Amino acid sequence: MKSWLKGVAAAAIAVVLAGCAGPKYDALHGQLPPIAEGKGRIYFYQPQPTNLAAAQQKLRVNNEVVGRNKPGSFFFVDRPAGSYVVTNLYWTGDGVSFMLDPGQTRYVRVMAEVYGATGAVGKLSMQLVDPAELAENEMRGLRYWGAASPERAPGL
Amino acid sequence: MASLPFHKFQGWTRAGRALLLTSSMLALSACMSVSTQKVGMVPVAAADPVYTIQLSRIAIAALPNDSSVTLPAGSQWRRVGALPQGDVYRSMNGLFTIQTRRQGEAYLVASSGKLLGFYLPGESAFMPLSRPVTLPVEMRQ
Repeated sequence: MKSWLKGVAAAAIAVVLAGCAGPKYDALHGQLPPIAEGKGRIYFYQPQPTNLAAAQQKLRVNNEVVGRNKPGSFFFVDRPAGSYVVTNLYWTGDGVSFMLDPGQTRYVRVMAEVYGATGAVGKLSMQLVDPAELAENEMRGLRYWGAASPERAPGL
Repeated sequence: MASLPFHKFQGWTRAGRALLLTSSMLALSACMSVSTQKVGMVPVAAADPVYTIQLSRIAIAALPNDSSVTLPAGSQWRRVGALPQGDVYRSMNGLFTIQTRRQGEAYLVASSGKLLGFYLPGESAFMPLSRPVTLPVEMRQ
């Protein structure tokens, strides 16, 4: 009886967690809001297993926190065209920097160091990904993590 | 209560380790860092003719942090502006980056046929090379 209850509880938790997970990038294709004039878009994505016990860290765009990383997920923010530094570590200055042109999309891959089969994770690193096709291919199976950012796209 | 001094010592040990770890990480990040100068690029005017260059062979530039950057043979670069140090060229073959303490998009800064350094547009900074490199320019437009 107890194991039956545990099964029900596990199923309920799975349903709740599935509800939290956003749609996959593939499914969102064509539903994403257009980039406003004079702005560009910055994607953040972490193409790693969702069961990775990676700590979520604050991601900053020009020192402003825009969201947090999450394995198996992605989100984006739109920003006016200009110069940008993206980092997760405020004090070391690691991360990436780039020029964002009007209408342009930049892709930032976030990766957590994984120590072999232990499941333990180390620091996060970031890479600018180019061309766009490579990033889109890597994001194909990732889920929208709108909750990561206060700038969550409405309706997603 | 008798164990209190030991706990206190343990606390100091942890603090010491954290301090050591922090200073080690800062030292490691400093290894990759290079000195840059904040600078504002003057963009080319829209009315100016488009000016591009193409490299006939690879060019390798040594960065001040002992790493090096390879400019591919056949790569094309468009003049997008100027700094006091020279003209600024942006890659026409996709994103071009250099790795210092962070990965930064980089434009070439050249004058009189020599690569003098890189302009990091995301940081509005110029990173000079300690040794300028002759650019094997094949084509100019």
